[in-house]
Amino acid sequence: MSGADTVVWMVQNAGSEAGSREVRVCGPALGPDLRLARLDEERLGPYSPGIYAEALSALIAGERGEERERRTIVLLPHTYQVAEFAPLLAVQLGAAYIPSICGAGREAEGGGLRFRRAILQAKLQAEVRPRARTVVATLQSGAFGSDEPPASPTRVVDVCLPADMERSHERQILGREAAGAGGVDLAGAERIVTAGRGVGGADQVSVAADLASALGAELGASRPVVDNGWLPREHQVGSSGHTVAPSLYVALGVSGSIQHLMGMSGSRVIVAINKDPEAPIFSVAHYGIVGDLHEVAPALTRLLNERAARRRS
Amino acid sequence: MLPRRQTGEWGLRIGVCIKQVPDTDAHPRIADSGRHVDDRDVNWVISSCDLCALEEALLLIEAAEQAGGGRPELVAFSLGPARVEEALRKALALGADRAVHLLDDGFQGGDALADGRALAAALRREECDLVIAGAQSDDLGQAATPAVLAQVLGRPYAWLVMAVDLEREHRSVRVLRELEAGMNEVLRLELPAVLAVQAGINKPRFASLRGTLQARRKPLERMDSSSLGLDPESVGKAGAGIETTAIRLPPTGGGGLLIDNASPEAAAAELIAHLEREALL
Repeated sequence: MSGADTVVWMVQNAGSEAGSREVRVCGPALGPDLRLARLDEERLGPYSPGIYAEALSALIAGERGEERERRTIVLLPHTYQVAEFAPLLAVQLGAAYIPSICGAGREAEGGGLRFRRAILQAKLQAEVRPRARTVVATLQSGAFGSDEPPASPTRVVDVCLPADMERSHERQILGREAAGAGGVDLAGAERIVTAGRGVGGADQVSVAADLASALGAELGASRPVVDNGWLPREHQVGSSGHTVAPSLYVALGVSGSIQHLMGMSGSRVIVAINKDPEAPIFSVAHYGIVGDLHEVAPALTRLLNERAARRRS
Repeated sequence: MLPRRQTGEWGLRIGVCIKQVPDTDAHPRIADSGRHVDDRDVNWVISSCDLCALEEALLLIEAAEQAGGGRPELVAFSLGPARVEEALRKALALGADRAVHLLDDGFQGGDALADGRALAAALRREECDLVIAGAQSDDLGQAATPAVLAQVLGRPYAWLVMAVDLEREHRSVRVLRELEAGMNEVLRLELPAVLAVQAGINKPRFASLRGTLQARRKPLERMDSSSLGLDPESVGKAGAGIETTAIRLPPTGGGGLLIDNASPEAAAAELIAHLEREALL
């Protein structure tokens, strides 16, 4: 089974490159009939989840209606915008919804579709089988090999507003603003030391700050650290904060939620220090130390400071 | 049917949807079937974003009360087996006025679409003007159920909400929504609406002893497929679009090196040597 009975829609947001390559890498594993649907604010107007879902569903349902015997798979990058409207699309299409997948393919025997996704905060992975003939799946950022060449679609369609659709005023955009004050340049940083929940409290963040200063690094924070008020939001690394790709990323007591991994897994060298050997952060780390960060990080800080002092003298 | 409580002159009723999940601090075990998490020894808790949803509803109610015009009513909803009653009692202890437990053997094995259809039917029956849920659950993290509610109920929707204000004059809510890359968007949604709140929007309170005692006397209603007028084929396993075929440990390591050294100083020194070889120091 090669998926000849399957139509694969690869959805791309013209306003953002995020995830479009991954969608094109994943598509060919599911079938050769690859169609590209482009979403574009110029054509659809300002983003609203209802409008984007409806415009896309009108296109896909329209073509599906002409090819009833075929299966339809819709692949979208798992951006914040997509994750908001994709479930609406799935309900409209009567489709199975499989969000934030990290793997997709067909069974060797029978050619059945299988998707993989992380569950329980990335502590386990589930293999999921769709029961509906139409599938809407979103792709976890970074999970689909950047080594493979992206496929070229057999057809490209710009998504338009259906003629009979009215723009509703139920949801209006009043404005946009930056989430936090400035002063922290995580996106441009060459080195980052990130404090995770494992540092233990606001009064213990200094263990990470000291190491950051010994390394000449910016100080990052995981979401729980920011949510608990241990560090301000502008320090937050992850898909809801800053996406970073420094040369050196040191994670102190960060367990490694999917959102965090999405925000930092592109770093050149990742060091993880955590007392839990099963923490998901170790799956992306190049160097891992299983141990008490309150012992290891101060030792590291001291050795780095001694090393710097030796070099100066 | 229980008598509806007064909801103030604004007549607002807020519905909060909560999901009971395994405590994520513990390491889950895979059941012998290989398809489920072993739920023996699991400590069941309210999913963290859903606790924030409940807290946000309580804050909105307190603000509305202070502004005058009566107290909006808060109803907590949850779908799941008998154990879920504990989560609903906790919601009542925290300040919800009533609770609705969607309890039916036929709800078992549902996915976000099937569960969303059932919850939507209960929310419609209770005529909730504002529905608040967590942005994603701590167990499956699909971030789908609140969107399904919005679609099935035909209401405007916002996900990753970081602040909410009730706007009485417009009969709307003003919300701050997280975008990527540290940006926020300010939106106005006409009521009735569905909001999915992000973790960190507030710090959920703890239940007081008085609240816990009061919770025992607050109404908790059970609803099943037939009382909600649902087609049994549209809920539970029969109505689910997906099926889990296996659960596994994630593949370990991208070929990372474990620095396995008993002493923190030795581990630190070894790491520094590696970073020097990587030309990072």
